[in-house]
Amino acid sequence: MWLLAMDTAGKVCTTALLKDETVVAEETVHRLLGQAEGLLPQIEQLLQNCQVKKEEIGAVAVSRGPGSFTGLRIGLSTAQALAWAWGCKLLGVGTLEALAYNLPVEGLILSPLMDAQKGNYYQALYRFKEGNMEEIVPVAVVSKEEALARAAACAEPAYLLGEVQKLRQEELPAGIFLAPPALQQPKAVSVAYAALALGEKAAVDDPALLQPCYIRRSEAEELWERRQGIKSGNE
Amino acid sequence: MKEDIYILGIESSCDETAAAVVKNGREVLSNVIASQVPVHRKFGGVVPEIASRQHIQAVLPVIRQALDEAKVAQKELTAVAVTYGPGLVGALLVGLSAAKALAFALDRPLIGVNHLEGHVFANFLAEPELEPPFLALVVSGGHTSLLKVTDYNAFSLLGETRDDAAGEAFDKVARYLGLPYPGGPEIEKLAQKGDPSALAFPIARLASPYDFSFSGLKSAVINYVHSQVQAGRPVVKADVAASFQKTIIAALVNKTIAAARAEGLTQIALAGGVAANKMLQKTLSEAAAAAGARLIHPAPILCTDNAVMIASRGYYLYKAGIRSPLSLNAAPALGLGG
Repeated sequence: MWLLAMDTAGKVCTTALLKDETVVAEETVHRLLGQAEGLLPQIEQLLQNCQVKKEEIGAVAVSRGPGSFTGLRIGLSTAQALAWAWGCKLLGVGTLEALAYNLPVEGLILSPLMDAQKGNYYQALYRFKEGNMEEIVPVAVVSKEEALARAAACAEPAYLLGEVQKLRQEELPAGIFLAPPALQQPKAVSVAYAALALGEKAAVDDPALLQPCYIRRSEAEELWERRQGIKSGNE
Repeated sequence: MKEDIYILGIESSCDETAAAVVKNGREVLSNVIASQVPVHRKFGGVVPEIASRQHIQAVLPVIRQALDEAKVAQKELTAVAVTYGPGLVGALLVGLSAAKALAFALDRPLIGVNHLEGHVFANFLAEPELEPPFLALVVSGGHTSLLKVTDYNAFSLLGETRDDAAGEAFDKVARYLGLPYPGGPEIEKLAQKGDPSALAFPIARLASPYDFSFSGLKSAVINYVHSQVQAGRPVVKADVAASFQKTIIAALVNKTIAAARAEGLTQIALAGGVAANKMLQKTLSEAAAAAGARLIHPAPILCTDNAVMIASRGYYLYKAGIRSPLSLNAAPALGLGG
């Protein structure tokens, strides 16, 4: 079975094709002109390069957040429509969990970070153990300091992945490391492996049901609730 | 016998997620609209991020419903037409991404449609015999433009607003009067109970004969209300609404008739959300008749944002051999007659 995977949650547009769990091709492009323009031509090129016919695609896997709101919607709208048109499976995986699959190595704490604006990050912590990715701390919006403190609280060395380009290794506390540059950015191959590991848990019965995982509400809603004097917190 | 052409239209430029199937450019097989108006009401206007979130929830269900109601299978579609501008960029990208993916997945041509041209094409569905040339007055929350339609794919812009769009002036005045969003229909409703000659509001005179300006009118209305309140005098909201509406409609009608006369056009088409205003329809229709022209306007359901008009516009682009690449991006500030 051919699996098409994509991730547009961050600043890269990344797509991959796998055949029966083996990577056949992956392309990751920094999209200066935006993912809206790049995603579909990139998918078209990928299929051509691998000489895969559209009807051979058995599943589409997509990264569903958290990340750039617009980027997530580009990815999900595209993936939903492809899966519906092809009548194939649609698999959704968390962006942070997919990032953890960039470095599936035992004995480490994996701390993916995605930009949550205003100096904040979306962060969750994972540990790869006996072939499984375990979530040890669930996703939250935290400041840079909180993110580092959460990573440092674990005994094992922690690796920061994702949108870590503003961080410097020399500023990090002992035991916290930036992942090698080649492993920092979202990778469609990791989306694919996360989806394969999740199996049926990643699948949706109806492609329209797969929605972005924003974590944060829109600013307008937060502002409105503050004005109404309602305590915010629950989604 | 030529083969029938089935176009799927998709629209997500503002606060309606819409999909439609149109046969041969003029036969509506389905028209599905998921409106977000109630969601935005508490904010007093469209919130872009919330609009985008609503679109991604609605886009695929709306497309499926459009095909189901039309009883047209994916494979029977000839092409996919989609609004790529103007509008809210995040909102546009939801419909555009789905359209591109569908066109690619089904091996069908993608046709990017200018939303404003779509509004004009709603008139072809209102009146199956309508053929160019005609004059179009596009009036919406974002635009006020006079367009000469010489052929299905040839337009020239005669004039447009220098500042606020007509619909924007309606909405802003409505908000100032404390009316709920969207304000246009509320002003129209309130105006029915008021005296349109109660108050005299000024309208800008511009050197360019077919350009519009409504920000002065809007300010005059707001200043009037403000000064009445300051002085402790009553504000008869119905009179304000009626007088404002009369003034703005007079400006729209006068310039439209002048343009029709100067261009020798005997068909005038009304388009855009404000085209649903009954008083505008009536006044323009009477003025057109007096000038030897006739007015065409879409049914209310095709005045608001919809995908039927996008599919219809897409059909004529398709017939002209116009296709869009899969790299098509949203064009939030796309203009008319370019």
